[in-house]
Order: sequence, then structure tokens, then C-alpha cells
Amino acid sequence: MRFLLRILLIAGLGFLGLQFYDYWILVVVAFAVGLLMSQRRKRRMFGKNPPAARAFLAGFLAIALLWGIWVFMIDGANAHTLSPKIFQLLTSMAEAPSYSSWAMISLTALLGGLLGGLGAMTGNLLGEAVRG
Amino acid sequence: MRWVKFLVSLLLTLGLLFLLERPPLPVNFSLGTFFNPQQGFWQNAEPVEGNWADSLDIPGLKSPVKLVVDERGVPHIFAQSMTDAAAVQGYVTARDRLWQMEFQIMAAAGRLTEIVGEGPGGRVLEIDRTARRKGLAWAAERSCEYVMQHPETGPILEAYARGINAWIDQLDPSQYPIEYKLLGYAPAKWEPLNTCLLVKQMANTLASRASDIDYTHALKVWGRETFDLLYPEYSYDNDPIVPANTRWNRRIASPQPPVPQDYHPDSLLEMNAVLEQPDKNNGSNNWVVAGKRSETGYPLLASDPHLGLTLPSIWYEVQLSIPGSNMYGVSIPGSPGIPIGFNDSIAWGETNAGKDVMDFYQLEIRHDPRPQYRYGDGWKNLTLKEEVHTLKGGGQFVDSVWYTDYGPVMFDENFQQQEQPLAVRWIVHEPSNEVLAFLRLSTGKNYEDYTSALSYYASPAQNFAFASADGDIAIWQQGKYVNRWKEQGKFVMDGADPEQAWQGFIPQEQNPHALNPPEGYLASANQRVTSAQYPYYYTGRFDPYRGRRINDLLGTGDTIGVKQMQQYQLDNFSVLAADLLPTLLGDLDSTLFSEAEREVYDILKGWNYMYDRESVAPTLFNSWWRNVFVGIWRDEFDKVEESMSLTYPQSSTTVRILRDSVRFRFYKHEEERWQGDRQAVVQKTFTNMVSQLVDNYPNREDWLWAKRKTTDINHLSRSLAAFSRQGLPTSGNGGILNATGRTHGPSWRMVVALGPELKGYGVYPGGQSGNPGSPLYDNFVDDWVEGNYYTLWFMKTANEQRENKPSSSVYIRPKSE
Repeated sequence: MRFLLRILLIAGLGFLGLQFYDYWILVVVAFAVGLLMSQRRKRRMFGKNPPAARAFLAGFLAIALLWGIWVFMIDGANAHTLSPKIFQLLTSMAEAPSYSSWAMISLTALLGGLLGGLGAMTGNLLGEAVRG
Repeated sequence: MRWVKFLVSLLLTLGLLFLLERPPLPVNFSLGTFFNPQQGFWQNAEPVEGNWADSLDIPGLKSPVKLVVDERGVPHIFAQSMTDAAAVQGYVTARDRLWQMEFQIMAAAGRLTEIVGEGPGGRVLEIDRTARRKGLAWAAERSCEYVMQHPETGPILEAYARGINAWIDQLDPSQYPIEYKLLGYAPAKWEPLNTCLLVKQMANTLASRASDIDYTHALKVWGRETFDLLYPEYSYDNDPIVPANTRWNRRIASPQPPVPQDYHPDSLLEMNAVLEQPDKNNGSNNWVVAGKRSETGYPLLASDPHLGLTLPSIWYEVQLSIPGSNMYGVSIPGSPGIPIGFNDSIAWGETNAGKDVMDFYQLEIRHDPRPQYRYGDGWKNLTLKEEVHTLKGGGQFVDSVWYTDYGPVMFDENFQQQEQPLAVRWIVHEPSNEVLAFLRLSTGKNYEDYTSALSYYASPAQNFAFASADGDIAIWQQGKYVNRWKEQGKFVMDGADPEQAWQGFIPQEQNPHALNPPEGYLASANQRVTSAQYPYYYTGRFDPYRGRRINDLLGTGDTIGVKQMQQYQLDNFSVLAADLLPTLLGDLDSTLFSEAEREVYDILKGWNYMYDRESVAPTLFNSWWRNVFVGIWRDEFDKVEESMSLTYPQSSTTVRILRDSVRFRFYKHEEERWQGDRQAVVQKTFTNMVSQLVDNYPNREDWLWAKRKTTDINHLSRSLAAFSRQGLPTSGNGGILNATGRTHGPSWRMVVALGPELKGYGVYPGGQSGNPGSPLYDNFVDDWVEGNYYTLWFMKTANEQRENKPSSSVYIRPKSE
């Protein structure tokens, strides 16, 4: 439950934060949630995963899902008009391959996931370090 | 240990942020912001089912305006006054084309370095310096004072700017067009001056051809006789725009001034300066057919301007309706009004005049006791203008430009190592009010309104085709023209000789024109406008071929309908090929043919001179013709000192020489061991052409014209292939009515049938939206390639509906400022 709660908190607060600040607010939000919800070692959800890894996973899933679903909907409403062009722009390919929309959605989700994951893990590790 | 873990994690996080902010890629933006769905490129992926808001507010409107946007994205604006219509036109144009509008005026003002920096090898700075040294922005400022003072155009330019700014003001940075995000800058407020800049930029595109420097070199290198042969004033096969039998009233003509006694262009010093010339494929067709020759019994008009093809397109379709006038056509994003279009009473369209209106004067300058240039028996003062070029990413470049009474000193030791300074005198520098001319024209009702509208028009000079529902057809070539002595402005002139300065202008009513000729049609296609009977001197670059073809087609005497008008715009017949190919084929010795040569010969022999995309003959002829052209001229031109810029003779001149002369000194070629007779050139280039083709394209399929000449419509930045449409299989070529070349072509094909059943047809290679993320970005391109036309929805009333075609309506209310 705590894991799910963390995902929801990071995704929800992250979405809210993006209305006022640029993408870096996601790192701040994930960091804060990671720090405040850093937990003791004995409570485990997934086997022997250390809490830092769990924090990373929560942060990663939170933002990857937030951004992934968000841009999936944008891309669908746009009938995949722009994403292949941006793919082509970034790769300098002569023609955009059929998977380019998916590639752009995945890349966006991955990037967001890394921001959330690293932020949450850093927060978690700070909490542990402070607690000693 | 725990602190170490924390620090490692922190460093990883900061490292990622740093990478996103400063990516090791050739980009100017933060990758994090770019991918952020709330701010970055995803925000430009607009919903395809997107709709306009039900209502919106634009400050300063006097009355409510109704805006209908149809399924092709064309805005139909119903306003109570021209000022209100202009405000809404500004608003919708900015909504669809904001980045393009601003980019174009930045280019005109020589401010591109602010957006993209100096460019590789300082190329962008060079372009900017050229624009400023030509005096484009200076001319725009002078013009704008005049335009803004006028009681009609002042408020219209202000309203147009107000509309654009209403759009910009409500934009969140996340909604900026994607080019701003990629280049990392933001739109600035629109000023009325920007519209004046745009008008001057059009003049720069269409009226900046000046061969003065090149011709002066050619005269020195080859002498008078050869010069006249390579660069003849008249081409024998020209079919003028104004029918050749037109009688000119010489009595009211201002007399042509005498040639100055001290005029010796061949004694001028050598020049290093190279003036970049506009693309030679800039041109256009237009023609009008009188009711007595048309299927409908009412006049027909066709207009298709040939310009550089870009996305977003140079044109933006719009309907403007105010009490008393209902007009439809294409506008230029950045300028109010409709330069090519029709209303319920008349239709109009332009082709470029092509006359030389830009002259250069060599100056003798002294700096002691103060900066001056010699003029007559004395000296005149020079004024200094410090041009500050701001560079992206910091830094600036200051360019000192001297101004004379002629105009700016474009070339001197600071620019293109021109030792003897050259000042430019250009008609585009003169204040004029083209906005007013187009406003009057588009609200005109008849021939009188049309001629009075044109009297405000100065540059770039155009052939204005006109047809009215009450039965008139006409063409006026309108522009402000210098009354020149013979050859004035053909070569560089001496700035110290007052007699070589401009003496006066041709009276407007003496500009070439024709009204309701007995033949029942008039056409222009960038050919020389008059026969030698015209009592004034002019020079320039003219193309005889398209004009001859359209006059041939219209002259057959058949009844002409909309269908024929469209077919003529799409006509692929090459007059050049028809003129030249029999001569070339006749020179070949068929006993020497290889198998492949025999094959090629037979194809060409049976060719109908049509540049159809599904045939191979155009590829063969085009390649041969290029080999012949280069074979004749290049070796001699290469021998001339590299620093001296030269212009090659025109195609039509080359064809004429080939047809007329079996022997000619330029046919000689040392390497090829040609002795100067045509037969050797023809035979050798034919063999070369065939072996090049066979070697490069063993598969005959690849010889198709559709594969060898493809058309690219590039993004306006010229650097984003992803936002371009490339490799389009088109018919036609430059110099042909369907003037579709590699990157040039018919930028708006329009046919109008006037009368009670008013019908308009049109298509341009682009789309109404400038957003690559919109389905309306390039949705006309395929139809344009296939030669299809749209039936233009000319709404008679604001409440008109069509079946099965969606459109959205918006009510725009006045809002207090």
C-alpha cells in the first residue's frame, strides 16, 4: 500500500507542480516524497529489495506512467502527426519508421521515469543517512 | 557509507539534469523542457478534431465580427469595416503562421543572427549584412512613415498589428510554435513597421536583379560586339505582353534623356563585389480571356506566381467581407489585404515585370576634411549609419555603412573587398504605399477602380492582369520607372557625373498596358513587356518561352472554359525544346551510334516536347541541353579572372545562337579539341549525355522524369528535413507553363470565372497551418502534385452553409483596451 501511495503521491504532486514549474519540479517532488516516506529496512514489499531501489522504482513508475499515458493520449488525438517528425528530427533519418510514434512516447516515459526515480531514490537515501 | 550512497545518487540526479539542460547535441534547447508534455513539443501536437473557441476577444474592434473557418482551414471574415477585418485577419494569420511571419521580417531587417547566430563560416552574418547594406530596413522605415500617415492605411496596419498582438498576448510559452522551441527564443510584439518590411522584402525577392557589375566585366573582357551577342536587349522570338501592334502616343511622352558625354562603362575599374541575384526561376503566369471567347460568356482569369516553394507556404488563403465588398484570395502572412484574388465584381493577379530597377554608382571618396564623395565640380557629404548586428549567445558585430544621396554604399573595403566604393540606387528605396494599392484593388468594382488603385503602386513592379464581371479584360505593367537614357543602369555608372544620376520618372499613364484587345485575351509570363516601339528605354531579364506558349494556346480561337484554363496552367510543353531539339538532332551522325545512343535518339525523335513525369524524353533532353550549355560557355567563362563575377548568357540567347550559327568562337573547346563548329559540340555532348545516363542509371525505370527531377518543398528554415516534403514526383520544369522545378514552382494556382455564377478554383503546395504538428500543415501538397484544384468556398453571406463539410463559427466581440 505504501508503495502504491508513493506512486500516487509523486504522480499527483508532480502533475500539479508541472502546472507552475518546468520539468525539474518532478525531481523536487520525487525527492520530497522519497525523503518523507523513507522507511525502515524491515518492512519489505518485494522480497529483498533494498528501500532505495524500491524508492527508485516508485518514482520511476510514477512519472513514467504520468508522462507515458499523458503523451499517449496527446499522440492519439493528434493522429500521430507530429511525433514521427520529431523522431526524424532527432535521428536525422530520411524517413520516419512506423514505430517512431511509439519510440517518442517510450522515450518521453523513460526520461520522465529517470527524473522521478533518481529524485525519489536520492530523497530516500538522504532520509536513511540522516536517521543513521 | 550511507552518506556515500546518498552523494552518489545525488550526483547521478544532478548529472541527469545537467545533461538535459546542456545536451551534448547540436541543439539550442533544454531536452527536459522539450520532452515535458506540459511545455515541450507534445504541446504542438494539436488534436486533429481541434476546434476554434466559440468566442474570442480582440481589443479595439468597433463592431462584432463573425469568423467562419472551413474544413480546409480557410478563415472567412465578416466585418463591418476594413479596419475590423484587418484586425481579425492579423489574429487568424498569427494563430496559423506566427513563426513564419516573424522569421520573414527578421530576414528582411537583417536580424537573423539574433535567432541563429553567425552561421557556419559567418554565412548568416553575411546575409544579414547584405540585407542591411542594401538599405531594406532603411527603405521600410521611410515607406512606413508615409503609409502610417495615410488616413486609410495607417489605421489598417495598426489594426492588423493589434490582431496579431491579441494572439501573442494570450500565448503561454508552452503554446509557442515549435520553431521557437527548437531555436530557443520567443515571439516579439508585432509593429506596423514589420508589414512595411515585408513589402520591401517582397520587392527584394522580385526586383533586386541587377547585372550592372557582371555586365561591366563582360564588356571589358569581350568587347562591345561579343557583349551584344551574348546579352542582347531584344530576343527575336519575344511575344510581348502588350500586343505588338499597340500605338504609343509619343507626343505626351517625356523625352528620353540624352546619353551623357562622359559615359564610358568599359573604363571603370575592376570590381570584386558579387551581388547575389534572386533565383532566376522567380516568375509567374497570368492571363485573362474576354467573355466573347469564354464558355460562360463572362471573362476568365488565371494567375499562378512561381516562387521558392516552402513550408509554411508564402501564401495564406482568406475571405474578407465588409459592407460593399466581398473578397477572396491569398494573402502574405504579415500583410493585410489580398494581393491575388477576386471579389464579386473583379479578379486580379500579378506576374513579375523583371525590369532592372537597381543601379550601381562607383564613388570617389575622401575622408579629409570630412567624409565626402565627388559629385560634379564639388563634393557631397556622406552620412554614417552604424549597423549593430546582435549575435545569438552574446556579442555583436558593428558595420559602418555610409549613405549618399543615391543610397547606401553597399560595397566598399569593409564588404567584399571592393576598393572603389559602390553606392546602390534602387527604386525600392522610394517611399510608396503598396498596401493602399492592394486595398483599393481588392475592393474595386471596375476598370476605373483598378487603374486608380494601381497608381499607388511603385515596387516590385508587376503585370497586373484584370478581368471584370462587366466584361473588361486588361493588363497594366505597374511600377515606378526611371526615364532612362539608352543603356542607363545596364552597366555600373560614375557617381561623380550628375548626368549619370536618375533624371526623372516615366509618367504613370505611359506604363505599358492593354485593354480589351480584339483577340479577346491578354497574357503575361515574364517576357519583355513591349515591342521595340515603346518610346522608353528599359533593360532586365526576360523569359520569352512561357509567354509564347500561352499566347499560342489562347490564340487558337477555341472557346475557353475553366477546364482549359486549368489545363494551360498545368501545360508541360517546352518551347525551348521545340525550338532547339530539331537542330541538335539534325547535327548527329547516326552512322556512329552505339545501341544505347540509337535508343536515346529514337526516343527524342518521337518526343512531343511535353515534360510529363511519366516519360523519359524530358530527362534525356534536359541532360543533353545542360551538357551543350556548359560545353559552350563554361571553358571561356572559367578563363576569366575568378574575382570578376560574370553572368552566363540566358538560355534563350544560347538557343538562338545554336540555331543561327554553325560556327561560333565560343563553340571552341581546348580540352575537347572542338574547333568551333556546332556539329562537334552536338555530337560530343550527345555521346557524353548517353554514357552518363547509362552509367549512372542502368535501370531504364530511373530515366523517368518523375525520378530525375523531383520537387522538394523545404521548411522555411531550409534546415529541417523533418518539416519538409521532399522527393515529390512532379511534371513540368522551369521555363514551362507548369513551371515546377526542383525547389521552385507555381506557389498558388488560381482560376476565376466571373459573372453572376462567380466561381473560384485554387490550390497551393502547403496548408493553412504553419504547425508541423497539424494535419493542415501540408494537406494541399498531394492535390497540388496531381494538378487538382479546390472549388473555393466564396461565401455570399455570413450564414451560408454547405452540406457535409464541417466548418466552425466564432463570434468576435469588441473589447475595451
